[in-house]
Amino acid sequence: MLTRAAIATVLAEPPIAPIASREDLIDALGRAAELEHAIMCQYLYAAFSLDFTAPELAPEDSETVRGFMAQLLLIARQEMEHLGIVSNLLIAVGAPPNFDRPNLPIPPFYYQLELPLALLPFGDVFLREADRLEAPCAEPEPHPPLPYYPSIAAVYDRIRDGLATLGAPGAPTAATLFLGAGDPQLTNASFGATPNQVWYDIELLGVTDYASAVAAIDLIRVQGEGSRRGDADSHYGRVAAIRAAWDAMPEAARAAAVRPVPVNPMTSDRGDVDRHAPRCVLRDPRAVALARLGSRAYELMLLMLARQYGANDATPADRDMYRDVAFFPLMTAVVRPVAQILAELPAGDGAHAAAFTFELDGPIRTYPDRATFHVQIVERLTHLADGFAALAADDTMPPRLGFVAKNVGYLRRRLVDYVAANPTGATPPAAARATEEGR
Amino acid sequence: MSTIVCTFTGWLQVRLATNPDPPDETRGVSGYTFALPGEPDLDRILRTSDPVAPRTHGPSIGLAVRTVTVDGAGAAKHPLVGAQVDLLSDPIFESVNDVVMTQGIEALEPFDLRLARDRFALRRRDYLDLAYPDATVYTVPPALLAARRTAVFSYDASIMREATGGGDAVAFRKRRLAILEADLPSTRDPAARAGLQRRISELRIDDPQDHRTTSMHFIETRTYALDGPTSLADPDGWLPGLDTTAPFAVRLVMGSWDADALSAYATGTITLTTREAAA
Repeated sequence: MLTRAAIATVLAEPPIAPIASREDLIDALGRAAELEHAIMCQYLYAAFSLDFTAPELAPEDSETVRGFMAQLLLIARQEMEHLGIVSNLLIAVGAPPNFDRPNLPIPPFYYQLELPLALLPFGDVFLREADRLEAPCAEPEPHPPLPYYPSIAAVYDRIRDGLATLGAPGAPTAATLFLGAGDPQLTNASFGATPNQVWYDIELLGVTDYASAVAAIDLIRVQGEGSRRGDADSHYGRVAAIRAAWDAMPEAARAAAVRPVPVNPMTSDRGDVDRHAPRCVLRDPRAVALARLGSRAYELMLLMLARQYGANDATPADRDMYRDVAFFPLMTAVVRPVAQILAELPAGDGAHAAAFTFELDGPIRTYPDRATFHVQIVERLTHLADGFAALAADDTMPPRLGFVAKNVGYLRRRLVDYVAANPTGATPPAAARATEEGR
Repeated sequence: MSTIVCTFTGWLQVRLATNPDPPDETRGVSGYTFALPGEPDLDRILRTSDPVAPRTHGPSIGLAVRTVTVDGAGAAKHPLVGAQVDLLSDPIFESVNDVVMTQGIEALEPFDLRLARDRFALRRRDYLDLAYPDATVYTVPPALLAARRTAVFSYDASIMREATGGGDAVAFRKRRLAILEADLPSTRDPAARAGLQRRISELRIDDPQDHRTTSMHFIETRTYALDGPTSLADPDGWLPGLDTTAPFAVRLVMGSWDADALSAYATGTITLTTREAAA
């Protein structure tokens, strides 16, 4: 909770200036990408804290809780969609994508936004914060300049206004704003969807000009942060429905439905988070090892996503490979199972279960060339395969980890074969040697 | 020498989680298939008989030979007409969410077929690598796996029409929804009622572009060459001089995926060669 003094300090700051240049726009889109990314983590964390299979739950309550988890995962996918759309916007205006973000919890006003960004288990506190996060608002309308964003919708209002200033027909920079419009983006068509087909509840819109840029921003606003009141399919509507059903559940069922995961878990007492927020450093060695591997797998997924966007030396086959490894295998067959397995382990503090930490130990960079990138993804997958195999060999670990280890090992083998079969003439000798050693 | 082609049809059950759930999700959360309250965990196994927890109003599970031809001529009275066709050894779709193979064209493995009626039984398997009978999709070279097991995916209403008499997936789901809604008032058992409500809520998702609906028009075609040792019990000489030196060719086409009933329709052929003229 902010003190009056803190609020006064913020209010004393100069108002946020409108976007007046390409660099302003790129900065704003970069921050929007980080926000969407952090919000996605929040929803995933809450979803993974639910246990609809708890034996104490009556069948009806179990189905209700399964519905909560499905809805939270759907919202998380749409936050991924928002991140993807913002990435397309960045590419279109000539910038690289931004898959980086600070570790959670993030201090208040880090993004000039008075909203908590933290990993919270499902429950009253999470629902209250989600409710604030998704608060509906009217169509974009003029409001007095403030030194902070009153809502996430306001972040997008500023971007929308900036796009109009710089890219609307007649604007002095309209002809040059979308200088990256021809560079590769990810859209639903990238996954084989037919035009206008919603794909796993997501609609990745491409951006090539002012009209498509505005349509992309409006989709984010209407679907998520800044939806209209009464829209049941908006995030606000979905969160409101979850809250109503949660409030109607018996207290015993509510207690059984949520795993005892902590607020803001982390594998070390890191200094790059909000030190005033509650945190839980995992102590159980198995949980720490698995959480670190899970974060590394998640980091690899982000690195492969970053190489998918924009102009670089990736061949079409490379881009297909990045997509085919990052999306279903790493997201659904590694990261999510690891998150669920972690919740079966103790945190080691005597009170909580362990949980996925979403920690990033370094910035998510966009690697410039395929030769060195391919060496590094093979190295990373080798470390992951070895690490998961070693942990899975511990017979005190949940058996499901063996399936994850087997799949990561297979992914490594696929990547090694791919890199060997798709060499680059410019591969430096050291890179070629490193790839060979990874086989 | 005769060539005998047995054409089979029927329904099979596959209790598996669907995207974007993990491949080993046991109850179903973010996809469109679920283990309902009171049902055992999802296990990904394709069953051609003895379905697990079959859903009300779903199709009857079982594959059987419908027609037989001998050297291209119909043989309506051939004793194999009506024979039961089973896939044994718990076959599963082995995409593993694109880890191993691309979804929709992935391996169905193992492929171990049995044809049986009365005292007759014929069983043979298509091994991924005959030299290594224990080989799995994870252990054979990916190129070999792709060459031996890549399916052909297509999308149209033909198999659904053959299976259900109509090709309108939205209308099919709407009819099932009406039946289940009519069942709801008389369903008192808490687990059965919760499961029925889940099925109803899923069937109410009527977007024609949603996977729940479009998947009824998914068609997957696989071909096999059964090359393993043959187990044959043919006391009445239905297949005189069956040639077991060459692989048996099998074609399997699956479609009309009924996500509500976790069932799909299958049709296919088994081609056998006898050294003697067939009866």
